[in-house]
Amino acid sequence: MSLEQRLIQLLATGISNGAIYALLGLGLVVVYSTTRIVNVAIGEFATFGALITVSLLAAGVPFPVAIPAALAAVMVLAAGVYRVALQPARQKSAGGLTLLIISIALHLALKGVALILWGTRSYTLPAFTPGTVRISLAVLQKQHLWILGLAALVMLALWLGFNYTVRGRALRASAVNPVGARLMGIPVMAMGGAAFALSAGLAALSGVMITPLSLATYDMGFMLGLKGFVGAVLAGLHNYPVTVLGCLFLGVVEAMAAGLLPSGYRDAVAFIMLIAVLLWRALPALRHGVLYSEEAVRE
Amino acid sequence: MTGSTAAAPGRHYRWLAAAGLVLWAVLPLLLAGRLSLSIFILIYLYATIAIGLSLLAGYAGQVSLGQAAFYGLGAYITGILTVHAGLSPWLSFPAAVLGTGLLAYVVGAPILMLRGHYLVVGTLGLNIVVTVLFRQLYGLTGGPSGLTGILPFSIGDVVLRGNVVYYYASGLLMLAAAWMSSNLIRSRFGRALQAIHASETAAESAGIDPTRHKLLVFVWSAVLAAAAGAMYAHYVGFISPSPFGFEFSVQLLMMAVIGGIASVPGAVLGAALAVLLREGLRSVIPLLVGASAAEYEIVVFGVLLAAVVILSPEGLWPRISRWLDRVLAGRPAAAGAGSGVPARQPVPPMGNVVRLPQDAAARAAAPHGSPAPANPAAANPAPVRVLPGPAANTAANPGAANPAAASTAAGNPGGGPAGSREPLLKVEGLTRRFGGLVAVRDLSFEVYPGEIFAIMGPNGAGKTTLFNMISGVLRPTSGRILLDGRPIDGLPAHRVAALGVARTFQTPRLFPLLDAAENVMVGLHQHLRAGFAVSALRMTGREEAAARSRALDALVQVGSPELAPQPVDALPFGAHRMIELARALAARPRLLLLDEPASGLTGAERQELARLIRQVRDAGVTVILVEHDVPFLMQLADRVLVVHHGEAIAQGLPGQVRRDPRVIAAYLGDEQGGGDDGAPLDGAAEAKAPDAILEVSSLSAGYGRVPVLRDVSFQVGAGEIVAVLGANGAGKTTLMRAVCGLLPATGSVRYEGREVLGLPAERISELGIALVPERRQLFDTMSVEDNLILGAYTRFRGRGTDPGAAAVARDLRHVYDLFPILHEKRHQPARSLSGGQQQMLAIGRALMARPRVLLLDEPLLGLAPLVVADILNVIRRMRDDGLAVVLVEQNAATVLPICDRAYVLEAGRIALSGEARRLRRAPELQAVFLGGAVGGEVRR
Repeated sequence: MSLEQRLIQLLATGISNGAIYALLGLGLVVVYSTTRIVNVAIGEFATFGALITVSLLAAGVPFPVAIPAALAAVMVLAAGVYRVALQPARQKSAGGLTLLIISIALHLALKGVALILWGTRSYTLPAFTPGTVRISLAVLQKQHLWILGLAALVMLALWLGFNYTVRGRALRASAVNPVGARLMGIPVMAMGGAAFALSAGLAALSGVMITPLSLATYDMGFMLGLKGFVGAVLAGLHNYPVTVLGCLFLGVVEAMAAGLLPSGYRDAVAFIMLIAVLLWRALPALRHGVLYSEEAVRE
Repeated sequence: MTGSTAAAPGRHYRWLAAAGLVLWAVLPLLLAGRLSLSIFILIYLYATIAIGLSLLAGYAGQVSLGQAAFYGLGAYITGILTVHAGLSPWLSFPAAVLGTGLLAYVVGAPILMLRGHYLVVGTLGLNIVVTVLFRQLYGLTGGPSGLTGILPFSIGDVVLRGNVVYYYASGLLMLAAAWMSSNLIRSRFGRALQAIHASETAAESAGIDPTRHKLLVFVWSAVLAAAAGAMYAHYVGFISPSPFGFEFSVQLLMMAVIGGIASVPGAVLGAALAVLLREGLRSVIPLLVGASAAEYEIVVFGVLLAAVVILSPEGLWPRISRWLDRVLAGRPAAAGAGSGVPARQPVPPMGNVVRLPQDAAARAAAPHGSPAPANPAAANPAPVRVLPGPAANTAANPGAANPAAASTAAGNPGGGPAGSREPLLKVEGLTRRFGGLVAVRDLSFEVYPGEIFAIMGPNGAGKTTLFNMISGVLRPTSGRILLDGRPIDGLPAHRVAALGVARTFQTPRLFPLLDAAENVMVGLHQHLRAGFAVSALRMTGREEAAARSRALDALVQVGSPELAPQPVDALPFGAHRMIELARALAARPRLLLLDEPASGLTGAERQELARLIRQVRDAGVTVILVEHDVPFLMQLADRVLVVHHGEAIAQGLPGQVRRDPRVIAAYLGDEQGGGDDGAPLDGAAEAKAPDAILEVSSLSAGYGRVPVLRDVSFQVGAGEIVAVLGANGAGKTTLMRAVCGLLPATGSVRYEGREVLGLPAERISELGIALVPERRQLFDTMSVEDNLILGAYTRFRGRGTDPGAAAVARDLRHVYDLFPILHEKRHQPARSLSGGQQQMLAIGRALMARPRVLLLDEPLLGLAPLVVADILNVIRRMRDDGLAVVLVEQNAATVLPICDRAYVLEAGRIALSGEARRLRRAPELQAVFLGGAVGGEVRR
């Protein structure tokens, strides 16, 4: 393989990974902007999406039915988790850190549940369509195209929903201005649950799509979620299109690093990027004085 | 637990601690092989790390998910040095601790710029990067398979090995960590950390450098983790990357949280629980599920953590400690950082502001303290000590240094700038922008030593922004600030504070983990010397005692010495104001900035405050005052500066300013907006017999401890415009928020005969009460049309019927009819509109819900006269359509012509009410807004 060929190959894998991260990143932004919760457990929803699909297939449910069923199950699970663990704390107006710790706890608990249900084995799913396809110099699995296509479709659906339905607008409004939203009669607290379910659905889909390429295990979720988070942080946790770009960028940089550096450094690349971006974002606060940065956090 | 050595001063804790210590010492004998000591070694090591995390996260508020990295660095550095360099453990151990500390120092400086979530994630990233390095640097670390052959400690030929040796070594390490950390918490350093946690802005204004303190505590926590890690490496003799992953960081945080994040014994308790639980699960789970599924423990951990955080956010130790207080003492006693003192005493009236001698101060404080005197100063009052510190010398008594200034100011209040004196503070061309908004524009003024200089202006005039720039918490966009001729703009706030500038905040910013005296002592930070090491080893006795007595002095000065030992959380609002003022005064400032010191205080308290401020001025301190309560300000100020829209519009003696037509216009508005419209309002007003649709009676509300509304009643009927008038801070917005269910309140709000108080805001708006809120609360980034459609949200749900696109489209057309400009801009984001257009959008959005009552909160604020006329016309049209309109305004003169009736709010009560056309000419109205003589039949 020539270097050029290799680079194109890496670029393509990177974009496909980036699309997976982007779904998770979007989910994190939806939840963060409506509830100010950084949902550490989002990766577990990806795990559950993948493993529930595995189990349904094993039980003889056909693939095209199993996937939507798994997504629906995960969304219901997420709404329940929000209702039981997060809404009470939000109603007591818990601080951001308390919510973060609760979501870390949820991450641990859900990961544990996945361990109990599925053990430490690795599972796999068949590719949506098997085989490879040649694009320019790169040879890609057809699954990569599925990922890109479905991710694009989901993003389009999100865009339409957020812009052209009353409920979608209400969700955005709860994020943009919760006080204004309550005055319009929008139940902001319940919108948090809707956001949670939506993000879990996105995560579950990403988990199902990536499994044919890299195996599914009970602990697959956390790293996925963190990658999505890095992309979302690039966008300041509030801008949807920039989140997608950030995640794609991360995917590509990571794939390049994985291809060109020893593979063990792959995770480090993502997090060095994360720290660099965080610091870069913290700089303007320094210029404006302590009050500015403190209020930027409370925001 | 042995950790109770670290408990706070209560006497019975000492017995407990002694018993724990004995138990710790003899435990290996008691167990005699029945239970492995390795469990205890792990507990002690984890507890050591958790103690550091408790200081970092619980006290300083800097939550880190990277502690395992420092634990790992300690282990790997000592391991590498013994294995590869053949160094003796006696050398490699300190090298590991110091090296990790140094790394933490280098990494901490940038990473601590991050705040909140971002710091958590940043430290987590750090942890992951470090573990990746452990795995990848095969040559040094042995890669994933790890590093073997780490030498144990040895003395001569005796190799120190085995559980018993390390049981005592790790136990001593933990005890040392607990002892030093507890000392730190109770020192100047610990107070600074807790201040930073509560509010970096307030801490920095009190003279604390947050960056430095955060970095120090970060390094301290890293050092503790590294010591534990290095000891672990020598104990086990083998290390691999896996115990140092971020999963362990999560567990460490969990230990600290479960035990009680802001407590040293809690950290020990949490570590013990986590280790015991894990060991327990490891022996139980295989029995239940057969296989060796050690990782099942994470389910239990996760659920446990969630349960503790949700059910008992403060953690277990504070609860146990309170329980111990009850059981052991049969009465509450001082425990932890000043908790447990009988709290919730009635508000002490602000009594005589007399400077008591020291022993009197101590006596005044003593009866409220625990029987064991809280501090040596109280027990053994010493003569006045002069504290060290350069600022103390210069700032100690500027009045004495310059008696002329004080006497001039006192004898000639309002004397203004006496020509020969140099200004203490000089502000030149100061400007501050926030994005497109100019909060302060080209402001210049001078403040002379020994005067009370007041700054007033309507809402959003830029007063607080100005304060923030002078005190250094906000950097100006341009312009200069000179203190004694020396530029201070651009200096960090703690440097400004060190130059003798102290301030208070609009809402008092106290530090809830500290008692009142300690809160005041935070103000002394820059006058104290004790460094980190001295504090950790508790060698601060004399200085602390002197600081405490000086803090008591300051509390005496504000008339509240009895508050000293009380935890501030339980105290009433008035006490918070006084404690904050004492904190500012304790620093013996040359310039004191008071941001709305009177708001939230009762009438009597305000008079006491005025006396106190005069007294401070007479002692030679220059005071700058920002205040909403204009009458209060007028009686107090020597000179007044009036700002409006960020610009100075008048400056001079209070009497002059009050008569300035521009000031009156800024406060009361003028009539050019809608007054000359010539509508036959007199007739209209009488024609209506208001059949109240909204009836508010005896409504009282406030924010937390701040009472704002007291017993307010008003009514409005369909087809009527009722004005609620009042100056800034009179409680207008609070009233609107309370009526709409956005704020808890007592009293009654009846809508169409039905009680709606206590219903959630969503429900109230659904019933037909719409609020156009202060600052509009638009959905900024969404389009104009999206904003309007969301106004109709309640009609899309509930009631079982979809209004249908047609009905909504019809209402949209109606709104576009009223405001054609909105139609033109319907696809633009709301934030791109001008202020007036945004106001129209806010009104249009409220109308989309088809309300029967429309509440408008300051709809004219900051609008140009033409726009004002437009909006008033629309309001009139809505009234004519049968809507009940409540118009909350400061600009009385502008709105009264279109109103039917009006109520005037003053300090949270209805001061005047009556028909609008009568009120327009009432002299009492101006008195309410700008102070001055009042009398008249309309006043209740």
